[in-house]
Amino acid sequence: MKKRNLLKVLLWIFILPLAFSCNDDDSGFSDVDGLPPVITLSVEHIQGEVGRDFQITGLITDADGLKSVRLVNEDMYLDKTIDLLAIYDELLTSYELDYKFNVKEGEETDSYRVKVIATDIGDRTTEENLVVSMDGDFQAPIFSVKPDDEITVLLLGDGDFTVDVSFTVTDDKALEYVEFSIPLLNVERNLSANRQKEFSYEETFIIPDVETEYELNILAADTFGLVTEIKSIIVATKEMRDFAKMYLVDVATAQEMNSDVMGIPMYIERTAPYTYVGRYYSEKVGTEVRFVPQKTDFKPICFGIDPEDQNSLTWDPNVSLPIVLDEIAYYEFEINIRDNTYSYKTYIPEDEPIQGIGETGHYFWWDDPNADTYEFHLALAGNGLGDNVQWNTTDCLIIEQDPDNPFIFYKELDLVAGNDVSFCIIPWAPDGWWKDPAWKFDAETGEDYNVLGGSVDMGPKAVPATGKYMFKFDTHLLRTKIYPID
Amino acid sequence: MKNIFIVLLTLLSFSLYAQEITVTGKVTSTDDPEGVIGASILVPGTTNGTITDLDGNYTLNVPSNATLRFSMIGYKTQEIRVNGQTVINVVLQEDIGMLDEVVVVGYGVVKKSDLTSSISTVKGEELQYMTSGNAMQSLQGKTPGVQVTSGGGPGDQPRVIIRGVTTVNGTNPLYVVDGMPVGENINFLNQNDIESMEVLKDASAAAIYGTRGSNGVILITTKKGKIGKPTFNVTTSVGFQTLRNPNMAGAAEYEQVFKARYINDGDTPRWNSPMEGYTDADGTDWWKETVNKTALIQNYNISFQGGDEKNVYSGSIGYYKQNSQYDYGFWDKLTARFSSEYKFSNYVKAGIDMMPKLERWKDTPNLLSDAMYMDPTTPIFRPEEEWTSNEYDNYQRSYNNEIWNPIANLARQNKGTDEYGLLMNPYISIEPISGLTIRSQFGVNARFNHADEFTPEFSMHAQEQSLVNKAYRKMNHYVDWNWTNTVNYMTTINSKHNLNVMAGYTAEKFSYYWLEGSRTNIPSNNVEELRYVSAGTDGRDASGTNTYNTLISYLGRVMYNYDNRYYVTASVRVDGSSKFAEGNKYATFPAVSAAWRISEEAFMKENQDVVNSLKLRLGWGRVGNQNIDSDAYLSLLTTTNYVFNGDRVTGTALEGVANPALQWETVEDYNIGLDMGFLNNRLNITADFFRKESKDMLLKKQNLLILGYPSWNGQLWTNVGSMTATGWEVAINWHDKAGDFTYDLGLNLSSVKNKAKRLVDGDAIKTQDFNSDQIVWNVEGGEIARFWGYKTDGIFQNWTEVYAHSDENGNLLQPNAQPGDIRFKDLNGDGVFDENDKTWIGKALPDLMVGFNVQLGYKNFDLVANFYGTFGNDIYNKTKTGYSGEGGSNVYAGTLDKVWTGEGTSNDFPRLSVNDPNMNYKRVSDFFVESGSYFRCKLLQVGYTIPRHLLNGYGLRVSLSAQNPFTITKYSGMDPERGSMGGDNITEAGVDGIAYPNPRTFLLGLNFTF
Repeated sequence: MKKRNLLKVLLWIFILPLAFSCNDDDSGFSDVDGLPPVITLSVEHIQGEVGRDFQITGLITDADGLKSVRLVNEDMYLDKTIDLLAIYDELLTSYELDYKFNVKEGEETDSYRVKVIATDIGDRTTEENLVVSMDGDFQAPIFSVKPDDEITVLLLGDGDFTVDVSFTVTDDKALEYVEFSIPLLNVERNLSANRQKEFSYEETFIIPDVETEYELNILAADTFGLVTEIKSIIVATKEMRDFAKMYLVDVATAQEMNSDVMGIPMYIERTAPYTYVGRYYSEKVGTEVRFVPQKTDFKPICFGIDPEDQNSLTWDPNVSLPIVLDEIAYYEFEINIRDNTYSYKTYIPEDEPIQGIGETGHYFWWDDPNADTYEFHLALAGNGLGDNVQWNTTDCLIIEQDPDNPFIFYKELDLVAGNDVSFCIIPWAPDGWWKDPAWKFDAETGEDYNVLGGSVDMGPKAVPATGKYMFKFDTHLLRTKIYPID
Repeated sequence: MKNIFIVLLTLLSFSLYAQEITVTGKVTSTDDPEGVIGASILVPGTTNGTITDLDGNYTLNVPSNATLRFSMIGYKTQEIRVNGQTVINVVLQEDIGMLDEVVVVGYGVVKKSDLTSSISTVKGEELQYMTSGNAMQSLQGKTPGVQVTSGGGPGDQPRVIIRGVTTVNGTNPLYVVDGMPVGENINFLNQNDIESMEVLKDASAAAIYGTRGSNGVILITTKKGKIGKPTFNVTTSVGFQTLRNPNMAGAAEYEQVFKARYINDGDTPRWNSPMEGYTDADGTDWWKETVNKTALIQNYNISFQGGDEKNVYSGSIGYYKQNSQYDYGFWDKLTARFSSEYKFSNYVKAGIDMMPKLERWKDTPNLLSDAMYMDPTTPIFRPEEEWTSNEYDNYQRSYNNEIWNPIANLARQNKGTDEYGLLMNPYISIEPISGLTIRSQFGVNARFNHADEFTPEFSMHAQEQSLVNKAYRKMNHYVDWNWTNTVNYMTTINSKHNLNVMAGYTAEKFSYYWLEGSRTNIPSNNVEELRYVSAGTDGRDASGTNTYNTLISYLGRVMYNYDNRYYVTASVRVDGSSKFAEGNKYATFPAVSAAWRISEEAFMKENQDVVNSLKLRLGWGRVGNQNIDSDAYLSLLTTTNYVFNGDRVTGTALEGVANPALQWETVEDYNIGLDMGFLNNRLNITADFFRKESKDMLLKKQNLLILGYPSWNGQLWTNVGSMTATGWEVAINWHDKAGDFTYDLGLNLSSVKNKAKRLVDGDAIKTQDFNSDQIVWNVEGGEIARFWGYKTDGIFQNWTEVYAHSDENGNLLQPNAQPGDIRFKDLNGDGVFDENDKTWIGKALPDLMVGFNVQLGYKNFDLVANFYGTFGNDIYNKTKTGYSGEGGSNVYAGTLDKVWTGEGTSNDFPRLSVNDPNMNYKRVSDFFVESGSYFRCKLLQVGYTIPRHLLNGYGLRVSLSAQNPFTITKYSGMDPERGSMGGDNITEAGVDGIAYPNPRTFLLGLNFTF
């Protein structure tokens, strides 16, 4: 009897767990409808671009509960399993797929078929496909040459008054069309860009002899329908304006005025109404300089020597002559654009150039005469100047002192298009200390005007094209410029 | 009448005194049939006695009816009646149990069988098998609960932890030499002079040392004189040490690795070596050039002892020298010891122990890392045509990294210290009535040293130069004194009540005076005679100060036992320290312990064939720690520079803020133990369980910034912390013999968990900086010295794996990674890889410490083997950066085969990368964590004792030793023991950044007795 009871107990011990363990699957969940997941993709064809993120989106549902979603394409190096059971505390019956991916390398013609495989809790799977092609376009056209925000047309003298509208627009893929209009002049142009990557246009318009302002609108569209629109104001005036800013130009073309990262043309100071004083270092004999109130072009106003009166200035870019500097020296200019007078002279700076560059000394901050030493150098600390240059005084870029003019420091740079450059000029310090002398940029003018020992960090400057550039900084003039040297 | 008187007198004298006879004989033992040297023969109740000579022979005039007592430590005492015999030969029987050996406790001695506390004893002879500069290195593995971790450099001081850690303010125990506290370093001590070492492990034993007992106390008793003819003993050991060659890459592999780092990042290698396509033969093996294959180690010692009834004496002179593994650097010490005790009468005796010493260092530079990572394409010297008259300029700057030329560095080394010292303990002991002893001891420990350094002027490169030479000297004077006065009374009442009462008063002063000065621009770099401070023409600089602290203490102890079965000991010490402000200067440290010798109970008598001794011990006590600066309770000012109108002006600024409420750090300790002896005491087992908890642990706390204190110097010491250490320890020893074969086996195991219970404001103590992060974190509620970092999950083998390591929306967890980089785990699964994914990735302190000691003897041969190991600890092995080549460093040989170079090539070591954008080698991660467990043979010694009859009765033992001959470990670094030490503080433990490892040492030893 006892044996029989024991057998019963043993039987229950073994059977009970078996009874409770019976289920639809090993996961411990019961089926609701036993059907596989349903995948509804938002789109079945994604036009992407090499190096650019794209999104695979859609809705996946399963009444039994979803286990995972897998995205696969071997050629794209994509094999991602989204383990929903691991990510979510609860069993999902509906999941909004939103997965970002990026094909880093390839051609515009590449196309990939991505499998989207959803698996439910009963290990039932559903597979859908979508196509990802690399022929998308995501970058709107860029105006590489464009009119200034404000263009002044002087209604002085005889004949027709004109304004030149010129611009160049580029697109990484292809341009479809360009439109521009000056409504008050009834000007409206619809131009085909012929699916080119670059489109340039120039046209001269006659301006009535009436003081007014004209709005100029330019719009460029690429073949993907991405548009860029810019606006300018044309100010027609019968009096010379007292421009708030004036620039010294030492280059010959508008292209050179727009290919720099900073510093060209060079900002000069307005010392009195219509009066501007600028200092400049002429690096070679025969340097030609002129003055413009707009930064991107010589037109419509460019102050230079009046060919009819060598002692006077003229504003007309078509006739004004450059001032030719016949010495390698520092020059000081003063122009008055109302009186059309100008003067210039050479001078010797009274301040001292930075001393001790390259010399070894006890510069460590702890100032121990017995501590280690290092060489004194000025350097650029900032961003966009290369992987090894950081915003600190240790991982910075040492700049060279010009042996011919110790006020000038220079460095050849390799810059990448699209990168933003910003920096300050400081002594290189292996101890990581920020030391004097250091230069930042003027906060008030917003121009490339250096300030010793203060002011603000410069705003980012976009690099227009990949290539070699020359950095130059003059501790006397307190001016910095970065221009291409390719 | 006169004749009758004489006859009567003669008869009377015959009746009063038995006839004097001369007894001779030889004392041998079961294991020394040649004769036992130094055995004591005494007529009980008299002072008539002698000791055996070199051959074990003795001669003694005794009454013909006298009884002779033959005794010798380690043997059973025998008493034999003379009964007119003139020749009595005795064979001493070894006392395997030695239960009644005397154990030194604080301010007294007790029989081992009467101990109620946890105290371990190690005999000096057990330490002396090893040749080491610090006796604690020899103690490693000899006793449970004592964790000794050491480096191998000349003069390196081991870290000693007794039963875990309850404070961040130093872990070293207090060392007391012949009753004189000597601080935390016993490098000065010749280990051949040690008679015994007692480790007071629990608070019930250490509380008598009050404020300095929280880390345990080690009592060292030096050798004393013995009655008998003078005997001399000469021991020498000479040998050499070797370091494991880390096997770095030759020039050829280095060049490939260097360039691969750039090429793998799509960059052009910035290769500065003058040629391309190096072979190993073109390069320099910097390890070989910097680190010598062998370094000499030598130890000589001569000691003597002897005495008579009135005066006993002993002494020794020892010389120990350990060379560094470089051409520069050594540590040597010339030590002497003289001990004498004179018995003025039966009531008064006085003695003195003197230990003068001379220690010298030529500081061993730390160049192992430089020798490993120096660019192997760089030659040692520049081309001769570029040499200048300054020899220090002629070395070549590294072509491809910033490491300073280690050979040039060696050539410039000129830094050393000479230290003279005297430890002196005169004492007087008066016993006016039986059992009452009044003792007064005035100990002085004085040390004087001068450290000199000369830095030559040199210029190898703008980044490797010193434009001025400099001479520097620092004089340190330490004078400590300790006056200890005790009264001890022992009595037995009704033969059952045994009482031992001690009361004492001590006064101590510790003084430190220092002065340092330096000058620069010495006229010559090379004239050695000009390398002194006054020869400098510029840069005069001098500073110095005095520091004192004092301690007065009142102490007492009562030891009572009933019938040698029930024991109670209670002690108390009241300490007053100058380190604390008025009102908090005094603290009381009580302790109570009890023991029950179960084996002495009647019901156990019938089991005594198996269980010879069985004792249960219980202990509680409170001990203290005052290990902070002498001026911690004071507000301090320091000099600083201010700028006014562009001029620098020297002024003062706050250096530290006072906390007058500062008081002692205390540790409360509970201990339960069991001592067992089985099988005629051949098998002895001791087991203990303990728990220690500190309160009011001294930590620096940030002051309220609103009060205007500076953020750093405004910190103040406060009593805020608490830590616990809980653990167990077991020692199992087996002694036996079988015919001519004798053997002793000892196994000890211990384990302790150290936890931080409370820290300042709940903030973790983070140590060991690593790329703007910290490796070791000590947090409230957790075990101390653990590593906090990222978990790795192998190496990305291809782009698919890189892209798949993303969140559910495709955001890459490691956007800078590429195939060959380490995959880090998103532990919290939030789809973002950041600080929140860190976890505990290792622990520096072990789960188990094991010591295993073997002593075998067969006839005249003997073998000693000591093993020590730790298990369950990890090491953060920073030297794994040796596979990265970072900063142009050299790499381990075979790096190219080990690192990831394509799919499937490695899942352990990431790709070579100059920029390391994925921060493979810059993140604190378990990539660097390895098991630090090891089991090391500390000593393997084979000895042979030449039979005395072959040497005219002189004793000579010859031995061959290997120290650290092999280590069983999975750790890939140079030395798991040194690696596990980490920094100086226990909160910095477990990080291996390449420090001087424990060398393998091979020695020939001689021990000559005459």
